[in-house]
Amino acid sequence: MKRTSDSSERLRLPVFALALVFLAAACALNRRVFVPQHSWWRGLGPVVPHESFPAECGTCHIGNTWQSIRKDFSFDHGTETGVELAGAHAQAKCLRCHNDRGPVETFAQRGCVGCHEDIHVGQLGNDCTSCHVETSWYPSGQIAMHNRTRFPLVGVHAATSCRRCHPGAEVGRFGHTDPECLTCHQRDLLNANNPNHIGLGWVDNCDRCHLPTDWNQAEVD
Amino acid sequence: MRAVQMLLLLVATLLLGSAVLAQDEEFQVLNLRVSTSGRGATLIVDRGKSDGLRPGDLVRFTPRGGRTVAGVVTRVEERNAAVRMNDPNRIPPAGTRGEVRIPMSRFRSETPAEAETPAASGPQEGAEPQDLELPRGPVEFENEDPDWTPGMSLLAEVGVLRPADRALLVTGRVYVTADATYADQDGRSDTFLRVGTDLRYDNPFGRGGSLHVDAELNERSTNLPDQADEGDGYGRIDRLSYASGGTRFERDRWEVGRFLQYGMPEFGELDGYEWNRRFEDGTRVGVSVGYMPEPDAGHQTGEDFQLSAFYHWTLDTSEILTVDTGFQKTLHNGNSDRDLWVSKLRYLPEDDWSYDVTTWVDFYGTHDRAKGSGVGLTRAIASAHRSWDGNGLDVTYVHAEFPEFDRFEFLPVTLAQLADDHDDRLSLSGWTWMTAGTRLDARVGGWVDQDDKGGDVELGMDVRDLLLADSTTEFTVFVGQGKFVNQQGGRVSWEKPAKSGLWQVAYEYVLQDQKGFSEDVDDVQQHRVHLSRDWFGATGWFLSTYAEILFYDDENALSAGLHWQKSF
Repeated sequence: MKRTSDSSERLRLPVFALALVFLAAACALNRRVFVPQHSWWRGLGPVVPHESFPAECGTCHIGNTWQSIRKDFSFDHGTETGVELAGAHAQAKCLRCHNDRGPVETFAQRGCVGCHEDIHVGQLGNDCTSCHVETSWYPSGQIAMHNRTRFPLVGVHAATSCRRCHPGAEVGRFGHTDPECLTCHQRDLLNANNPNHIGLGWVDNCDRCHLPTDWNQAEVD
Repeated sequence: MRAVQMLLLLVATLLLGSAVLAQDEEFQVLNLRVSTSGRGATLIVDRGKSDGLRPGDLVRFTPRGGRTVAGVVTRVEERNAAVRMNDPNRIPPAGTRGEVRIPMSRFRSETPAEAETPAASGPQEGAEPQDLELPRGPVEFENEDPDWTPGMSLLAEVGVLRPADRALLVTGRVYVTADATYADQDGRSDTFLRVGTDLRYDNPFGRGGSLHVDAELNERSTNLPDQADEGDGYGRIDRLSYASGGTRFERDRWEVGRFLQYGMPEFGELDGYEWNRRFEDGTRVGVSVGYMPEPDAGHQTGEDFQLSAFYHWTLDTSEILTVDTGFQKTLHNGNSDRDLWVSKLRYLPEDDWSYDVTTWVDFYGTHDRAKGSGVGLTRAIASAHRSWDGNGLDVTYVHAEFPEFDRFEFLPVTLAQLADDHDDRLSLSGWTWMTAGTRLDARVGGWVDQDDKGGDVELGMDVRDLLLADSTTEFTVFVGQGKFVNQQGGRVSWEKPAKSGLWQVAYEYVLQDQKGFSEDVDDVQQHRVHLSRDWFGATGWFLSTYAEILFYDDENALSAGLHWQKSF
């Protein structure tokens, strides 16, 4: 349903929005209900499980409350837990994963999206490692991956910025794009005056004359 | 005299017998750890007199990757002890595990009178009288604890920190990315510079919440032949939000500002407010309200207003099986625009097939000229995955259509394309380790759209240590049938870890057959050479550089770039 401009409907919506905002604000401003530990997420213990750790707290902790970690603290995550930390994960602060939101195992089993926001809003699936590695989020391998679509990147297309065809590429959106030439080359068509393509009615089937290597070249039978 | 000899023999026999009996005595193995190390040949372990440890006990340590080393307890405190290592050149580091065999008799015969003083005098086991006055008869406790009830543990609970009690923690990254591409024949070039940061402040105001700031400056310049050059510069805020709650202490979570929706990220970024509540059984509900920034480099906002709600169901708190469903209503410049229903199913067992399905369904009305009234499956992604013994198998299906709405999310298309266009792809991929250093992988895929269909096959083999030790060489051959081109080719890539980084070199050759052209001009040969070097340091910085040369037809294109990042 779209483009309805009925006045009653236009009035109804802001009222509904206002009510929702009020409801949300009321919930937020309501007095915080601190629930005791373990009461709403069973299986919770300390943020980091300590069962296998030495009984001498001073091995890792300092301070009167034992809440600070020694500067010379080191921990072999792979040996001690069976979960190897690779790349940037080996440098990350413990609290980035082990924190108050809940058991880290629950989030880790979801894969990358258990901890990292999916800026692709779910549209690229859940296999982040097909483009990203653990050392940084810098992507690689897109040309080889594009070979596995209906539009392999041929010629000049393999040396073109993603955003020329995917307008949301710079913010991680690689949504559905039509592979017809005019979807991206509309302006080229308008500028094609020698000969005048529009005047001659050459407004589709560009690949009858043009190779994808260079837009300026045309093969004439 | 003979009687004396017999008496001595009897005593000796009794002593020997008692010694043999003592050797057969039962022991309890006490596990311990090194808590402090590095002070000469003596270290401190985390067990003491209360655990049964006594001076003279032999302690065996098992350092990681090394042989067992031993030491003798020289001094015991109530909850720790000093151990002098037999070999002062082999001092295990803090955290090393060890064990002591403690005679069970030590526990059986233990009485307060036999207990030792903290600083025992010698390595041999001995008992000294303890300065304790034992009660004579029942003790009357006079102190009453009104908070204690029968059945309650006598030990205090661990004082767990709440988010509001934690110290301010700042984490994130800063990064610089620069890319440049130049095509030699027509002088087309494209440069792109990005400088950005992702910052997260935990507990910035002492209330336990977190402040997120993600911002980026970027500058792009594109020179196009026969057209006006393009240049854009943006300062973009991807995220500026404050979130609170959603922890094990607070079942409610709310976030305000610009952020990616937490409960249902598929609904996109929001300039507004989101609220979630998590229930004891793990289910969650939430609502959000606000404007949606345009999903492009400009991130303009104020045109698209949205209201949404979601429900998250889980079988149990382990969240191995979950179902999410949510509805989003959007308005474009005040007019009703999109009714979107998103559903997700995830089954993620540890040692079995896992499944992940997400669907985007749009509801259309009579005002939708291309789609007409009804329901349309705009997008669907379904995947199944199984890993076992280093082998893996993936099956993925993707369906995509253009939704009909006024919001700008994709390049403009015609009404006919809105009505009919779709792209469906089914792919199967798998890999297996043939030997310890050889892995085979294969991919097969097929696609179909409104006009055509095609597919692709790719076979690859990874070989370790082929050219140099620690290197990996990958050989890949592939064929594909695209919409406008058929192609066949091969790729060889090689990578080797270097000092604090990685080298990568790759070469790809593709023979492309352009559909619809006469045979003398329809073939395009394309060569691509890629070289990259990554460096990463222990302090969280990362630098990646690359250069790529593309040869095709009569034209060459050169791309080069770098990405520098510092995480903290």
